[in-house]
Amino acid sequence: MIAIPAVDLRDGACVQLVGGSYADERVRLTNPMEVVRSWEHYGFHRLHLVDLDAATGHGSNLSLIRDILSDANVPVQVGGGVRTDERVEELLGAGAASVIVGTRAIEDRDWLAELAQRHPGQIVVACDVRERRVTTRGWAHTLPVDILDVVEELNGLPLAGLLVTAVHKEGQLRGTDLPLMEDVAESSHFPVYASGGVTSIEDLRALEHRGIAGAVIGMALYTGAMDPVVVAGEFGE
Amino acid sequence: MRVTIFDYGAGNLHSLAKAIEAAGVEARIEVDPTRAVDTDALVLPGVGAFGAAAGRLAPGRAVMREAIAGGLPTLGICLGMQLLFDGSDEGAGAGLGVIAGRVSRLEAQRVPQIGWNALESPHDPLFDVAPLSIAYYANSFVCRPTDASGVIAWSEHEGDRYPAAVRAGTAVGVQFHPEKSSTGGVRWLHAFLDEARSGRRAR
Repeated sequence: MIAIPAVDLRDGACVQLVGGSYADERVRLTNPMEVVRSWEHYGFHRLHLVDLDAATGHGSNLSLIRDILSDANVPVQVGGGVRTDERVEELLGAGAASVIVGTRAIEDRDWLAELAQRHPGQIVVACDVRERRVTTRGWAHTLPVDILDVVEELNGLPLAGLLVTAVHKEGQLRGTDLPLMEDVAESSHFPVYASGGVTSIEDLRALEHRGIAGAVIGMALYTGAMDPVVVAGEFGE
Repeated sequence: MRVTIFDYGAGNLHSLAKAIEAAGVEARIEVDPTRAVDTDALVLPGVGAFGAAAGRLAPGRAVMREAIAGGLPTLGICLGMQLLFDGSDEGAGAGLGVIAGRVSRLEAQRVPQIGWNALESPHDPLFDVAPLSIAYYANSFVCRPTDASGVIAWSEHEGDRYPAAVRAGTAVGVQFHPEKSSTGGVRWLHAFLDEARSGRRAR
């Protein structure tokens, strides 16, 4: 399993939110490019870059994303508000290893199917999950859809992966939702990436043991709750 | 038909077991390498590290090697494929030595390779039944067979060309993860099980 530092962009800065709440910003670093370089320097071999402004429809960090992609030496998965073919092509063209699609992918399966077939192994579907239910639209709505039903529907697509974010665990440094991640990994015919609440090296070991392909880590790395040297040493590759 | 997954004790095998059972066969997980060969098809899964897995394999290595040589349909996935070879730079211990050669690190900047990669020139009845042009990989090490004639598909990562799949009689190894390669991959896995089933019937 690989540990993947999260670089969440807001107003050109690298931030961390608690529980996905835009009102509760806990970390703000004004030079995201330096942040990316430092994660590479620590020995991480993949990064997770998300445009929070694009996700909420309140702006865009696209030019910064382009700069980061051209500067980065490791594969970067990029997402946040990706709702059109044009944006997918744009990000892949700019050097993204894979593109993360969320809301529209969940709501418009025909679009997703066509997109995934056109870019096999390059589309990551992000599912924000609260308890077992899928939520979309910047976490404002919770759909009455069970995550395992979504997995079953997605199983026929050549996805780069499914990113499951346990929203109810996110940014709280209280551990991940292991039973959820285990159930999703068992049912999936594609790699599963876990996000939300990863706080300790034990969390990472437990996720690896349950067949998770990668864990996105945010708050724990930015607050120092986890030592990046230790994490990258064991899970950088 | 009974399918046995040999468990090196390294991680979760349920995803693989479910993908196998979706073919309508029974999948058993067995930690004892000697008992694991009492089956119609053997699967060496792709979780863990070479040294630890070779250690678990050691007490039953001769028995398993003999069973495979005797025609036991065997599928090695990722690390499981690497165990079909003589040894690995990743860790101490002997592989099964079913295929001559060693396992060494990918010669690339971006290691591990985690993601999908294309399969080049797949040629084997399994790929005829279940065509596969792209598959999911998660590996830092690859197999370097002494003789390339057993290679039935290739892949390339940053210029390092390595076997995506190998065959020696009824033993097949794949560096990719068919159980995580979407419908195409699961179909390929089921093609192996079909081959194992018809092979057992023929004998």
